Amino acid sequence: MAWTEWHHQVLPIAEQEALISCSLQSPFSQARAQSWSLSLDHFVKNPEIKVRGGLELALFIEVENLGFQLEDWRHIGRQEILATPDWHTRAEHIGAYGGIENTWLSVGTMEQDPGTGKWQRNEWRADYFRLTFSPPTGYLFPLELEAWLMKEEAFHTGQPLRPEEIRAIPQGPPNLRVIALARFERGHITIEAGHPDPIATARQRLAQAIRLHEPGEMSVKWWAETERSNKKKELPPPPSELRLSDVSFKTL
Amino acid sequence: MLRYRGYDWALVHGESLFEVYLGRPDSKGSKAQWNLKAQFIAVGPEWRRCSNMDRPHFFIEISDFDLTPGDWRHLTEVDFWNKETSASWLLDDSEYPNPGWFRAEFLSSFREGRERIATDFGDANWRVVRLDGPLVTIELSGDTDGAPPLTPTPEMATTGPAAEGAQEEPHDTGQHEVYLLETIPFGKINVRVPRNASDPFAHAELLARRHLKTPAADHMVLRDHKDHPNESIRGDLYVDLHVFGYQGT
Repeated sequence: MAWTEWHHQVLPIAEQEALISCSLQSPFSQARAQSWSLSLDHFVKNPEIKVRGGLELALFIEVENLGFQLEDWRHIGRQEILATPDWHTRAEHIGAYGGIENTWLSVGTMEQDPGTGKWQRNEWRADYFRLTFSPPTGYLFPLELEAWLMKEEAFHTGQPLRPEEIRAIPQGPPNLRVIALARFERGHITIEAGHPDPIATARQRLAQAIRLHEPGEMSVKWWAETERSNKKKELPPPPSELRLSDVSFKTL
Repeated sequence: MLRYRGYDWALVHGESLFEVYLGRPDSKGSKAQWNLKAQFIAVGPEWRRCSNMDRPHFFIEISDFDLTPGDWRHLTEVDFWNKETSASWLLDDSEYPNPGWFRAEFLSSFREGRERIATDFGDANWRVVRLDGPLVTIELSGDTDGAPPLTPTPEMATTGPAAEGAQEEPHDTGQHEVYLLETIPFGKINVRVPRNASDPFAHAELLARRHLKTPAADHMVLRDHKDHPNESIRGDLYVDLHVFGYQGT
Protein backbone atom coordinates (compact mmCIF):
# COMPACT_ATOMS: atom_id res chain seq x y z
CA MET A 1 0.00 0.00 0.00
CA ALA A 2 1.56 3.32 -1.05
CA TRP A 3 0.46 6.94 -1.18
CA THR A 4 2.57 8.95 -3.59
CA GLU A 5 2.74 12.59 -4.57
CA TRP A 6 4.71 13.02 -7.79
CA HIS A 7 5.55 16.57 -8.88
CA HIS A 8 2.86 17.93 -6.54
CA GLN A 9 0.17 15.67 -7.96
CA VAL A 10 -1.28 12.96 -5.73
CA LEU A 11 -1.41 9.64 -7.54
CA PRO A 12 -4.07 7.00 -6.95
CA ILE A 13 -3.22 4.74 -4.02
CA ALA A 14 -1.12 1.79 -5.19
CA GLU A 15 -1.49 -1.72 -3.85
CA GLN A 16 2.22 -2.50 -4.03
CA GLU A 17 4.35 -2.58 -0.94
CA ALA A 18 7.86 -1.24 -0.92
CA LEU A 19 10.60 -3.85 -0.69
CA ILE A 20 13.54 -3.86 1.70
CA SER A 21 16.35 -6.27 0.95
CA CYS A 22 19.62 -7.06 2.61
CA SER A 23 22.88 -8.55 1.43
CA LEU A 24 25.49 -9.93 3.81
CA GLN A 25 29.10 -10.29 2.79
CA SER A 26 31.51 -13.05 3.67
CA PRO A 27 33.60 -12.14 6.74
CA PHE A 28 36.67 -12.40 4.48
CA SER A 29 35.40 -9.61 2.28
CA GLN A 30 36.84 -6.17 2.92
CA ALA A 31 33.54 -4.61 1.93
CA ARG A 32 30.99 -3.54 4.53
CA ALA A 33 29.28 -6.48 6.18
CA GLN A 34 25.73 -5.40 5.31
CA SER A 35 24.14 -3.63 2.41
CA TRP A 36 20.46 -2.61 2.64
CA SER A 37 18.33 -1.33 -0.19
CA LEU A 38 14.80 -0.08 -0.72
CA SER A 39 12.62 -0.19 -3.82
CA LEU A 40 9.05 0.72 -4.58
CA ASP A 41 7.16 0.37 -7.87
CA HIS A 42 4.08 2.54 -8.19
CA PHE A 43 1.78 1.83 -11.16
CA VAL A 44 -1.06 4.11 -12.18
CA LYS A 45 -3.65 2.50 -14.43
CA ASN A 46 -6.32 4.10 -16.59
CA PRO A 47 -9.24 1.96 -17.84
CA GLU A 48 -9.43 4.08 -21.01
CA ILE A 49 -5.98 2.91 -22.06
CA LYS A 50 -6.26 -0.36 -23.95
CA VAL A 51 -2.59 -1.20 -24.31
CA ARG A 52 0.14 -2.11 -21.84
CA GLY A 53 -2.43 -3.42 -19.39
CA GLY A 54 -3.98 0.04 -19.09
CA LEU A 55 -0.79 1.50 -17.67
CA GLU A 56 -0.67 5.30 -17.61
CA LEU A 57 2.36 5.92 -15.44
CA ALA A 58 4.94 3.74 -13.73
CA LEU A 59 7.38 4.94 -11.10
CA PHE A 60 10.35 2.82 -10.07
CA ILE A 61 11.78 4.31 -6.88
CA GLU A 62 15.04 2.95 -5.49
CA VAL A 63 17.69 3.66 -2.88
CA GLU A 64 20.48 1.16 -3.55
CA ASN A 65 22.48 1.91 -0.45
CA LEU A 66 20.69 2.84 2.76
CA GLY A 67 24.05 3.08 4.46
CA PHE A 68 23.21 1.54 7.83
CA GLN A 69 24.68 -1.49 9.61
CA LEU A 70 22.24 -3.14 12.04
CA GLU A 71 22.53 -5.62 14.90
CA ASP A 72 18.89 -6.58 14.55
CA TRP A 73 16.68 -6.34 11.47
CA ARG A 74 13.91 -4.84 13.63
CA HIS A 75 16.12 -1.77 14.05
CA ILE A 76 15.17 -0.76 10.53
CA GLY A 77 12.23 0.79 12.33
CA ARG A 78 14.57 3.20 14.15
CA GLN A 79 16.29 4.52 11.06
CA GLU A 80 15.92 8.06 9.87
CA ILE A 81 18.04 9.21 6.96
CA LEU A 82 18.53 12.85 6.11
CA ALA A 83 20.87 12.72 3.16
CA THR A 84 23.16 15.59 4.09
CA PRO A 85 26.75 15.79 2.80
CA ASP A 86 27.91 14.17 6.06
CA TRP A 87 25.47 11.30 5.57
CA HIS A 88 26.74 10.79 2.01
CA THR A 89 30.31 10.69 3.31
CA ARG A 90 29.40 8.05 5.90
CA ALA A 91 27.32 5.98 3.51
CA GLU A 92 29.71 6.01 0.56
CA HIS A 93 31.81 2.88 0.29
CA ILE A 94 33.33 0.41 -2.13
CA GLY A 95 31.21 -2.67 -2.62
CA ALA A 96 32.48 -6.22 -2.53
CA TYR A 97 33.15 -6.22 -6.26
CA GLY A 98 35.05 -2.98 -6.52
CA GLY A 99 32.37 -0.46 -7.44
CA ILE A 100 31.23 2.64 -5.59
CA GLU A 101 27.90 2.00 -3.89
CA ASN A 102 25.73 4.91 -4.99
CA THR A 103 24.18 6.99 -2.25
CA TRP A 104 21.55 8.72 -4.33
CA LEU A 105 17.85 8.02 -4.69
CA SER A 106 16.72 7.19 -8.21
CA VAL A 107 13.32 7.27 -9.86
CA GLY A 108 12.70 5.78 -13.29
CA THR A 109 9.41 6.64 -14.97
CA MET A 110 7.49 5.18 -17.88
CA GLU A 111 4.88 7.62 -19.07
CA GLN A 112 2.96 8.49 -22.18
CA ASP A 113 3.89 11.66 -24.01
CA PRO A 114 0.58 13.56 -24.17
CA GLY A 115 1.55 15.04 -27.57
CA THR A 116 2.71 11.99 -29.48
CA GLY A 117 1.16 9.23 -27.40
CA LYS A 118 4.55 7.48 -27.36
CA TRP A 119 5.96 5.94 -24.23
CA GLN A 120 8.99 7.57 -22.72
CA ARG A 121 11.39 6.47 -20.05
CA ASN A 122 12.84 9.19 -17.89
CA GLU A 123 15.36 9.03 -15.10
CA TRP A 124 15.45 11.25 -12.05
CA ARG A 125 17.99 11.45 -9.23
CA ALA A 126 18.11 13.02 -5.79
CA ASP A 127 21.04 13.30 -3.44
CA TYR A 128 18.97 15.27 -0.96
CA PHE A 129 16.16 13.23 0.55
CA ARG A 130 14.63 12.33 3.87
CA LEU A 131 13.58 8.76 4.65
CA THR A 132 12.03 7.70 7.96
CA PHE A 133 11.07 4.17 9.00
CA SER A 134 8.78 3.34 11.92
CA PRO A 135 8.65 0.23 14.12
CA PRO A 136 7.31 -2.83 12.31
CA THR A 137 4.27 -5.01 12.40
CA GLY A 138 5.66 -8.36 11.43
CA TYR A 139 8.06 -7.60 8.61
CA LEU A 140 6.17 -4.47 7.52
CA PHE A 141 7.72 -1.09 8.27
CA PRO A 142 5.79 2.14 7.73
CA LEU A 143 7.94 4.64 5.88
CA GLU A 144 7.82 8.27 4.85
CA LEU A 145 9.97 9.63 2.07
CA GLU A 146 10.56 13.12 0.71
CA ALA A 147 12.96 13.79 -2.14
CA TRP A 148 14.08 16.73 -4.24
CA LEU A 149 14.69 15.16 -7.62
CA MET A 150 16.56 16.40 -10.67
CA LYS A 151 16.52 15.10 -14.20
CA GLU A 152 19.31 12.59 -14.81
CA GLU A 153 21.01 14.88 -17.35
CA ALA A 154 21.30 17.72 -14.86
CA PHE A 155 22.33 15.44 -12.01
CA HIS A 156 25.06 13.47 -13.76
CA THR A 157 27.27 16.12 -15.30
CA GLY A 158 30.37 14.01 -14.79
CA GLN A 159 31.99 16.86 -12.86
CA PRO A 160 32.71 17.02 -9.12
CA LEU A 161 30.50 19.36 -7.15
CA ARG A 162 31.82 22.79 -6.22
CA PRO A 163 31.99 23.53 -2.46
CA GLU A 164 28.82 25.63 -2.59
CA GLU A 165 27.03 22.84 -4.44
CA ILE A 166 28.08 20.25 -1.87
CA ARG A 167 26.37 22.15 0.94
CA ALA A 168 23.40 23.44 -1.05
CA ILE A 169 19.96 22.51 0.26
CA PRO A 170 17.17 22.47 -2.32
CA GLN A 171 14.58 25.17 -1.92
CA GLY A 172 10.83 24.66 -2.11
CA PRO A 173 8.71 21.60 -1.45
CA PRO A 174 9.88 18.12 -2.45
CA ASN A 175 8.76 16.81 -5.84
CA LEU A 176 8.39 13.27 -4.52
CA ARG A 177 6.56 12.32 -1.34
CA VAL A 178 5.70 8.76 -0.38
CA ILE A 179 3.93 7.19 2.58
CA ALA A 180 4.03 3.44 2.28
CA LEU A 181 4.50 0.10 3.95
CA ALA A 182 7.84 -1.52 3.23
CA ARG A 183 8.33 -5.23 3.68
CA PHE A 184 11.68 -6.71 4.67
CA GLU A 185 11.21 -9.59 2.32
CA ARG A 186 14.45 -11.07 1.10
CA GLY A 187 18.18 -10.91 0.68
CA HIS A 188 21.27 -12.91 -0.06
CA ILE A 189 24.46 -13.97 1.66
CA THR A 190 27.81 -14.62 0.07
CA ILE A 191 29.37 -17.71 1.57
CA GLU A 192 33.06 -18.26 1.06
CA ALA A 193 34.30 -21.66 -0.08
CA GLY A 194 34.93 -24.32 2.51
CA HIS A 195 31.25 -24.61 3.45
CA PRO A 196 29.76 -27.65 1.74
CA ASP A 197 26.37 -26.84 3.31
CA PRO A 198 26.08 -23.10 2.65
CA ILE A 199 22.44 -22.95 3.78
CA ALA A 200 23.37 -24.08 7.28
CA THR A 201 26.13 -21.46 7.38
CA ALA A 202 23.76 -18.81 6.04
CA ARG A 203 21.23 -19.60 8.78
CA GLN A 204 23.92 -19.11 11.43
CA ARG A 205 25.07 -15.84 9.92
CA LEU A 206 21.56 -14.42 9.61
CA ALA A 207 20.98 -15.19 13.29
CA GLN A 208 24.31 -13.68 14.35
CA ALA A 209 24.39 -10.67 12.06
CA ILE A 210 20.81 -9.38 12.07
CA ARG A 211 19.00 -11.70 14.52
CA LEU A 212 16.85 -13.24 11.85
CA HIS A 213 16.36 -16.64 13.47
CA GLU A 214 13.79 -18.35 11.33
CA PRO A 215 14.18 -17.33 7.71
CA GLY A 216 11.77 -18.69 5.14
CA GLU A 217 12.69 -20.24 1.81
CA MET A 218 16.42 -20.47 1.10
CA SER A 219 18.29 -21.55 -2.02
CA VAL A 220 21.93 -21.89 -3.12
CA LYS A 221 23.60 -20.73 -6.29
CA TRP A 222 27.14 -21.96 -6.75
CA TRP A 223 29.54 -19.63 -8.47
CA ALA A 224 30.81 -20.69 -11.89
CA GLU A 225 33.46 -23.22 -11.09
CA THR A 226 35.70 -22.90 -14.12
CA GLU A 227 36.20 -21.04 -17.32
CA ARG A 228 34.27 -22.14 -20.38
CA SER A 229 37.45 -23.66 -21.82
CA ASN A 230 37.43 -26.12 -18.98
CA LYS A 231 34.07 -27.45 -20.12
CA LYS A 232 35.49 -27.99 -23.60
CA LYS A 233 38.22 -30.10 -22.11
CA GLU A 234 35.73 -31.96 -19.96
CA LEU A 235 37.97 -31.69 -16.96
CA PRO A 236 36.21 -32.10 -13.65
CA PRO A 237 35.14 -28.93 -11.84
CA PRO A 238 36.45 -28.47 -8.32
CA PRO A 239 34.30 -30.16 -5.71
CA SER A 240 31.54 -28.07 -4.17
CA GLU A 241 33.46 -27.37 -0.97
CA LEU A 242 35.98 -25.45 -3.08
CA ARG A 243 33.42 -23.16 -4.62
CA LEU A 244 31.93 -19.90 -3.44
CA SER A 245 28.18 -19.70 -3.18
CA ASP A 246 25.35 -17.23 -2.83
CA VAL A 247 22.46 -18.15 -0.59
CA SER A 248 19.21 -16.34 -1.27
CA PHE A 249 16.67 -16.12 1.50
CA LYS A 250 13.15 -14.92 2.09
CA THR A 251 11.90 -13.79 5.46
CA LEU A 252 8.67 -15.77 5.16
CA MET B 1 45.39 5.59 3.23
CA LEU B 2 46.78 6.99 -0.02
CA ARG B 3 48.12 10.51 -0.39
CA TYR B 4 48.27 11.66 -3.98
CA ARG B 5 47.16 14.91 -5.59
CA GLY B 6 45.08 15.93 -2.61
CA TYR B 7 42.16 13.60 -3.26
CA ASP B 8 40.47 11.37 -0.71
CA TRP B 9 41.00 7.84 -1.97
CA ALA B 10 39.37 4.51 -1.19
CA LEU B 11 40.98 1.15 -1.86
CA VAL B 12 39.07 -0.90 -4.44
CA HIS B 13 38.39 -4.34 -2.99
CA GLY B 14 38.86 -7.39 -5.12
CA GLU B 15 41.20 -5.60 -7.53
CA SER B 16 43.86 -4.97 -4.86
CA LEU B 17 45.94 -7.89 -3.73
CA PHE B 18 49.25 -9.65 -3.44
CA GLU B 19 49.49 -12.51 -5.90
CA VAL B 20 52.18 -14.92 -6.94
CA TYR B 21 52.89 -16.87 -10.13
CA LEU B 22 54.51 -20.28 -9.84
CA GLY B 23 56.21 -21.18 -13.11
CA ARG B 24 57.46 -24.53 -14.28
CA PRO B 25 60.02 -25.99 -11.92
CA ASP B 26 63.61 -25.67 -13.11
CA SER B 27 66.75 -27.23 -11.75
CA LYS B 28 66.58 -24.89 -8.75
CA GLY B 29 62.92 -25.50 -8.05
CA SER B 30 59.94 -23.39 -8.93
CA LYS B 31 60.46 -19.70 -9.51
CA ALA B 32 57.86 -17.64 -7.73
CA GLN B 33 57.08 -14.20 -9.16
CA TRP B 34 55.46 -11.97 -6.58
CA ASN B 35 53.28 -9.03 -7.57
CA LEU B 36 51.33 -6.38 -5.74
CA LYS B 37 48.38 -4.60 -7.34
CA ALA B 38 46.43 -1.81 -5.70
CA GLN B 39 43.65 0.25 -7.17
CA PHE B 40 42.06 3.39 -5.72
CA ILE B 41 39.08 5.57 -6.54
CA ALA B 42 38.41 9.14 -5.44
CA VAL B 43 35.69 9.46 -2.81
CA GLY B 44 34.10 12.30 -0.88
CA PRO B 45 31.03 14.51 -1.03
CA GLU B 46 32.16 16.36 -4.13
CA TRP B 47 32.00 13.08 -6.11
CA ARG B 48 28.59 11.93 -4.93
CA ARG B 49 26.93 12.60 -8.28
CA CYS B 50 29.73 10.97 -10.25
CA SER B 51 29.71 7.36 -11.32
CA ASN B 52 32.78 5.14 -11.18
CA MET B 53 33.60 6.13 -14.77
CA ASP B 54 33.71 9.85 -13.94
CA ARG B 55 35.97 9.64 -10.90
CA PRO B 56 39.76 9.78 -10.72
CA HIS B 57 41.46 6.42 -10.40
CA PHE B 58 44.96 5.56 -9.29
CA PHE B 59 46.71 2.27 -9.93
CA ILE B 60 49.88 0.96 -8.34
CA GLU B 61 51.68 -2.17 -9.38
CA ILE B 62 54.92 -3.67 -8.10
CA SER B 63 55.93 -6.59 -10.29
CA ASP B 64 58.31 -9.43 -9.64
CA PHE B 65 59.76 -8.35 -6.32
CA ASP B 66 62.07 -10.72 -4.46
CA LEU B 67 60.82 -12.74 -1.53
CA THR B 68 62.76 -15.31 0.43
CA PRO B 69 61.53 -18.62 -1.02
CA GLY B 70 59.78 -21.35 0.88
CA ASP B 71 56.90 -19.68 2.69
CA TRP B 72 54.42 -16.95 1.77
CA ARG B 73 54.69 -15.63 5.33
CA HIS B 74 58.14 -14.34 4.42
CA LEU B 75 56.15 -11.35 3.20
CA THR B 76 56.64 -10.04 6.71
CA GLU B 77 60.37 -9.65 5.91
CA VAL B 78 59.85 -7.43 2.88
CA ASP B 79 61.78 -4.22 3.41
CA PHE B 80 62.93 -2.14 0.45
CA TRP B 81 62.96 1.12 2.37
CA ASN B 82 66.15 3.06 1.67
CA LYS B 83 67.96 -0.21 1.04
CA GLU B 84 70.59 -0.98 -1.52
CA THR B 85 68.76 -3.04 -4.10
CA SER B 86 69.16 -4.35 -7.60
CA ALA B 87 66.74 -3.64 -10.37
CA SER B 88 66.49 -6.78 -12.45
CA TRP B 89 65.62 -4.95 -15.66
CA LEU B 90 68.82 -2.91 -15.36
CA LEU B 91 71.21 -5.12 -13.50
CA ASP B 92 71.20 -8.85 -13.01
CA ASP B 93 72.83 -8.69 -9.63
CA SER B 94 71.75 -11.39 -7.25
CA GLU B 95 73.71 -9.87 -4.38
CA TYR B 96 70.88 -7.50 -3.59
CA PRO B 97 67.18 -8.25 -3.46
CA ASN B 98 65.02 -6.87 -6.21
CA PRO B 99 62.34 -4.40 -5.02
CA GLY B 100 60.27 -5.03 -8.12
CA TRP B 101 59.19 -2.90 -11.03
CA PHE B 102 57.07 0.00 -9.79
CA ARG B 103 54.31 1.27 -12.04
CA ALA B 104 51.80 3.93 -11.17
CA GLU B 105 49.02 5.36 -13.27
CA PHE B 106 46.64 8.21 -12.61
CA LEU B 107 43.48 8.69 -14.65
CA SER B 108 41.34 11.75 -14.06
CA SER B 109 38.38 9.69 -15.36
CA PHE B 110 37.61 6.96 -17.86
CA ARG B 111 36.04 9.46 -20.26
CA GLU B 112 37.46 10.85 -23.47
CA GLY B 113 39.77 13.82 -22.93
CA ARG B 114 40.85 12.63 -19.52
CA GLU B 115 44.18 13.45 -18.01
CA ARG B 116 46.52 10.49 -17.72
CA ILE B 117 49.86 10.26 -15.97
CA ALA B 118 51.76 7.01 -16.06
CA THR B 119 55.20 6.01 -15.01
CA ASP B 120 57.06 2.81 -15.81
CA PHE B 121 60.33 1.56 -14.42
CA GLY B 122 59.86 3.86 -11.46
CA ASP B 123 61.46 3.58 -8.08
CA ALA B 124 59.66 3.27 -4.81
CA ASN B 125 60.62 2.77 -1.24
CA TRP B 126 58.32 0.21 0.21
CA ARG B 127 58.07 -2.29 3.02
CA VAL B 128 55.67 -4.54 4.84
CA VAL B 129 54.93 -3.16 8.29
CA ARG B 130 52.51 -5.84 9.51
CA LEU B 131 51.16 -9.24 8.55
CA ASP B 132 47.86 -10.13 10.17
CA GLY B 133 46.69 -13.44 8.76
CA PRO B 134 46.43 -12.85 5.01
CA LEU B 135 46.22 -9.06 5.45
CA VAL B 136 49.46 -7.31 4.58
CA THR B 137 49.94 -3.72 5.69
CA ILE B 138 52.43 -1.92 3.50
CA GLU B 139 54.04 1.48 3.48
CA LEU B 140 55.16 2.95 0.18
CA SER B 141 56.73 6.21 -0.88
CA GLY B 142 57.30 6.99 -4.53
CA ASP B 143 56.48 9.39 -7.28
CA THR B 144 54.97 9.43 -10.70
CA ASP B 145 57.53 11.87 -12.04
CA GLY B 146 59.51 10.99 -15.12
CA ALA B 147 56.51 10.96 -17.39
CA PRO B 148 54.79 14.22 -18.27
CA PRO B 149 51.01 14.31 -18.56
CA LEU B 150 50.06 12.70 -21.85
CA THR B 151 47.19 15.15 -22.20
CA PRO B 152 48.74 18.63 -22.28
CA THR B 153 47.57 20.92 -19.53
CA PRO B 154 47.22 24.71 -19.87
CA GLU B 155 50.33 25.05 -17.74
CA MET B 156 52.32 22.99 -20.23
CA ALA B 157 51.05 25.06 -23.13
CA THR B 158 52.78 28.13 -21.72
CA THR B 159 55.94 26.36 -20.60
CA GLY B 160 56.15 23.82 -23.43
CA PRO B 161 58.96 23.57 -25.98
CA ALA B 162 57.35 26.19 -28.21
CA ALA B 163 57.59 28.84 -25.53
CA GLU B 164 60.78 30.86 -25.41
CA GLY B 165 62.99 29.82 -22.52
CA ALA B 166 60.77 26.89 -21.79
CA GLN B 167 61.74 24.37 -19.16
CA GLU B 168 62.47 20.96 -20.62
CA GLU B 169 60.65 19.20 -17.81
CA PRO B 170 57.21 20.13 -16.55
CA HIS B 171 57.40 22.02 -13.32
CA ASP B 172 57.07 19.66 -10.37
CA THR B 173 54.48 21.08 -8.03
CA GLY B 174 54.55 18.11 -5.68
CA GLN B 175 51.65 16.61 -7.61
CA HIS B 176 53.72 13.52 -8.36
CA GLU B 177 54.43 12.41 -4.82
CA VAL B 178 52.81 9.19 -3.66
CA TYR B 179 52.55 7.98 -0.09
CA LEU B 180 50.63 4.86 0.82
CA LEU B 181 49.90 3.11 4.10
CA GLU B 182 47.31 0.46 3.36
CA THR B 183 46.26 -3.08 4.17
CA ILE B 184 46.02 -5.36 1.15
CA PRO B 185 45.23 -9.08 1.21
CA PHE B 186 47.30 -11.94 -0.16
CA GLY B 187 44.76 -13.92 -2.08
CA LYS B 188 45.79 -15.60 -5.31
CA ILE B 189 48.35 -18.07 -6.62
CA ASN B 190 48.59 -18.70 -10.35
CA VAL B 191 50.24 -22.06 -11.00
CA ARG B 192 51.52 -23.35 -14.32
CA VAL B 193 50.58 -27.01 -14.65
CA PRO B 194 51.63 -29.56 -17.31
CA ARG B 195 48.81 -30.37 -19.70
CA ASN B 196 49.13 -34.07 -19.02
CA ALA B 197 48.61 -33.73 -15.27
CA SER B 198 45.89 -36.20 -14.33
CA ASP B 199 44.36 -33.73 -11.87
CA PRO B 200 45.45 -30.15 -12.58
CA PHE B 201 43.82 -28.83 -9.41
CA ALA B 202 45.58 -31.30 -7.13
CA HIS B 203 48.86 -30.70 -8.98
CA ALA B 204 48.55 -26.94 -8.51
CA GLU B 205 47.75 -27.27 -4.84
CA LEU B 206 50.69 -29.60 -4.32
CA LEU B 207 53.12 -27.12 -5.93
CA ALA B 208 51.70 -24.22 -3.92
CA ARG B 209 51.94 -26.15 -0.68
CA ARG B 210 55.48 -27.30 -1.43
CA HIS B 211 56.92 -23.95 -2.50
CA LEU B 212 54.83 -21.46 -0.54
CA LYS B 213 53.27 -23.41 2.34
CA THR B 214 49.91 -21.95 1.42
CA PRO B 215 46.72 -23.41 2.93
CA ALA B 216 44.21 -25.41 0.92
CA ALA B 217 42.52 -23.31 -1.76
CA ASP B 218 39.03 -22.00 -1.17
CA HIS B 219 38.26 -21.62 -4.84
CA MET B 220 39.98 -22.75 -8.04
CA VAL B 221 39.80 -21.70 -11.67
CA LEU B 222 41.40 -23.55 -14.57
CA ARG B 223 42.65 -21.53 -17.52
CA ASP B 224 43.44 -23.16 -20.84
CA HIS B 225 44.87 -20.87 -23.50
CA LYS B 226 45.05 -23.49 -26.25
CA ASP B 227 42.49 -21.62 -28.37
CA HIS B 228 44.71 -18.56 -28.37
CA PRO B 229 46.40 -18.25 -31.79
CA ASN B 230 49.87 -18.12 -30.27
CA GLU B 231 49.37 -21.08 -27.99
CA SER B 232 50.06 -24.65 -28.91
CA ILE B 233 47.90 -27.54 -27.83
CA ARG B 234 51.04 -28.71 -26.06
CA GLY B 235 51.08 -25.54 -23.97
CA ASP B 236 50.59 -25.77 -20.25
CA LEU B 237 47.48 -25.18 -18.22
CA TYR B 238 47.15 -22.52 -15.56
CA VAL B 239 45.26 -22.90 -12.30
CA ASP B 240 44.26 -19.94 -10.15
CA LEU B 241 44.15 -20.89 -6.50
CA HIS B 242 42.15 -18.46 -4.38
CA VAL B 243 43.15 -18.63 -0.74
CA PHE B 244 41.91 -16.98 2.44
CA GLY B 245 38.49 -16.41 0.92
CA TYR B 246 39.78 -14.02 -1.74
CA GLN B 247 36.82 -13.26 -4.00
CA GLY B 248 38.34 -11.17 -6.77
CA THR B 249 38.84 -12.07 -10.39
